[in-house]
Amino acid sequence: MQKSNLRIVAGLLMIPAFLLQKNLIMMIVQVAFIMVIAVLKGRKIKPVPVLVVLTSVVLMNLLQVNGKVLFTIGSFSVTLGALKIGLDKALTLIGMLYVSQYMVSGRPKLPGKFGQLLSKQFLFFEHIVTSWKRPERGKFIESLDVVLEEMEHIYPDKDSFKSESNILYVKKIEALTETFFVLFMWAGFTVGILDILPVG
Amino acid sequence: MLFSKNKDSTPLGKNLHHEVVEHTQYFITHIAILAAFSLFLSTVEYMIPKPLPFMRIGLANLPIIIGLSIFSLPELLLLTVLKIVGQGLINGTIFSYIFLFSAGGSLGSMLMMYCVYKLLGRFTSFIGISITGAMTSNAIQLLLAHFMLFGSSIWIIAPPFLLMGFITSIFLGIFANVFTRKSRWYADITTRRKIQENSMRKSSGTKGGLNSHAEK
Repeated sequence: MQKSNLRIVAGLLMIPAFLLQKNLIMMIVQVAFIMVIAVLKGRKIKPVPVLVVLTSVVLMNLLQVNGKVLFTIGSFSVTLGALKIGLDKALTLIGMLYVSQYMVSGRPKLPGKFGQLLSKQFLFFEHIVTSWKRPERGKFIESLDVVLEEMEHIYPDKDSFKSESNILYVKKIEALTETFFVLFMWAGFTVGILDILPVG
Repeated sequence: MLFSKNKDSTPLGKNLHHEVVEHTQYFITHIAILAAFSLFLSTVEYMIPKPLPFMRIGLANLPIIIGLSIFSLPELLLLTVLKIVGQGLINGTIFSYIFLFSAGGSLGSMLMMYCVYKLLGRFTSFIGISITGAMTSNAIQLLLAHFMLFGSSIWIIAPPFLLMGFITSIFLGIFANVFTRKSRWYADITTRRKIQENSMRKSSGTKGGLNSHAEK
């Protein structure tokens, strides 16, 4: 198997173990684990957006009264059911985001003509990022024209799309590591459905 | 459809086939260029601070607005899919719910803008088209957020979300108007499209109208 596809396969095997999780505590453990492996694979965690998503989704769900009242703030009642639903939705969103980050960290290559076109798009994107300079005042469109016209003269090396030397294959240790990640997620799922934790 | 090949083996057929392949290559390259430009704009947008992480300015939709007067519907679909998949891969959101929001909003707004452009293109500028696209995209994203994240509390964030989309889409539309009027690159590609449509019309004897904004 190609190295770039290994994490896609591993991620796809992890997703059901995460999405089918019903225990909130195990869900938090799984999200933390996913974030750790995403960081191990070179992705960065931005705490502020994570916290904003967590609080905004939970707060919005708290507006709908559901189940046992935990406490009240003025006329506003915080209910257990709404809190659980909010946390479940927020953790699912954050967890899936980092599973996705982990899956693309191997720089997967899409097959076929669409994959080639995507490679071309990234080649052009790289060109814009490297060649874009701050335009002079009032000359934004002229500067944009220059960059867009330059790209028409970039011809991706057709052989580079096919070259076997560019393809890296999976080593045994990498396959074992990814297998451990998948097993950990399924172990978390199993603990969750067995209902052996005191809370959740 | 975009990658199909003409298998007519007569000399005239070969010429036409060669011309069609050349034009197709040219426009596919330009689709990739605009898709890359869209990625660049989404990176710029990413750097602009926003009060909520899911709030969007919609800068990355600019190439699609510009593309309305250049590309056919299948080509626009390809551009939109490249934009969505490219953003998903770069931001690492391709396997997350955020991808669903991006795909729903982008495809819906592109189709709506295309309809408005084709049906009312003579009566509206890119500003109106851009507002239509932004409102469609925001409505789809709010609907998805209603079912997947916020439930009925969505009405609380809906007004600022829609208002922000409305304001930014006006600026995007103004920029698209100025760009299509001043850009050399845009003038070249629309001229090329006219040549292609003329040669296709000559060879097939059919009538087909050019896009109203490209003609302007």
